[in-house]
Amino acid sequence: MDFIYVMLVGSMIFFSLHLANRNKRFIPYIYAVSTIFGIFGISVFVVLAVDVIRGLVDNSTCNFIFI
Amino acid sequence: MRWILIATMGSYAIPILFYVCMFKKMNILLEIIAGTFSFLYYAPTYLNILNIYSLCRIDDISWGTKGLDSGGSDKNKNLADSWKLIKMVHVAKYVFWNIVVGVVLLSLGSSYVPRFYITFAIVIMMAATMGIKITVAVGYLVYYKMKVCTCCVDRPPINT
Repeated sequence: MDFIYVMLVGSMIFFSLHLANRNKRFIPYIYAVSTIFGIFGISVFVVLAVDVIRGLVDNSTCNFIFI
Repeated sequence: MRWILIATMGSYAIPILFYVCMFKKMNILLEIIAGTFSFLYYAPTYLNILNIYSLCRIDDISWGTKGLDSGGSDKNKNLADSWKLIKMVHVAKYVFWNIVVGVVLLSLGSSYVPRFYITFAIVIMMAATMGIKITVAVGYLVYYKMKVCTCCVDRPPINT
C-alpha cells in the first residue's frame, strides 16, 4: 500500500511538471488518482474509527504514561 | 489514554452539539454527518493533488498576469527562466521533506513505544487546536451576548 501511494504521488508530480491540465493523457490520470486517494482517505477513516472504538472498549491499562 | 480519546472526540462533538442546541436546527447535525463522508473522499484531492499541481505549475504565467508573457523579449525569457528555477527548487524541497518525514515515521513506527508517543503527540495537538477554537468561539459568544444585552443597537445578524 505504501509503495502504491508513493508511486501515485511521484507520478502525480511528474505529470504535473510536464503536462498541462487540458492534456488528454493528464485528465483521466488525475481523475483516477483522485478516486484512489479518496478511497484511501475513507479506508484510513474506517481504520481510525475501529482503532478508536477498540481503544475505548479495551480494558488493558496504559503502561507508558500515568493518565 | 481512553480519556484523551474521549476528550479528542468530544472536542469535535461539543462545538457541533453546541451549535445545534443554540440555533435549534437538527438538520445541521444530519448535514454534518452526511457531509463527513464526502469531505473525507475529497480531502486528499484538496490537500494533495491540487497542492502538488499548483506547486508544479507555479511558473504558469498564461493567466492572471496581464502582459507578463506577451512578447518574446529577453527580459520576459529571463523572467520565465527564473520562475522555472524557483519552481524546481520548491518542488525539490517538497519531495525531499516528504521523503524525510515518511522515512522517519516509518522507521519510528516499526516499534510500539515510539509509535505510541507519536500518536499521543498528534492527539494532544488535535485536542489543543480544538480547545483553542472552542475557547475563542465561547469568548466571541460571550462578547456577542454582552454587546446585545448592554447596547441599544439592533441585534446583529448571524449567518447560519
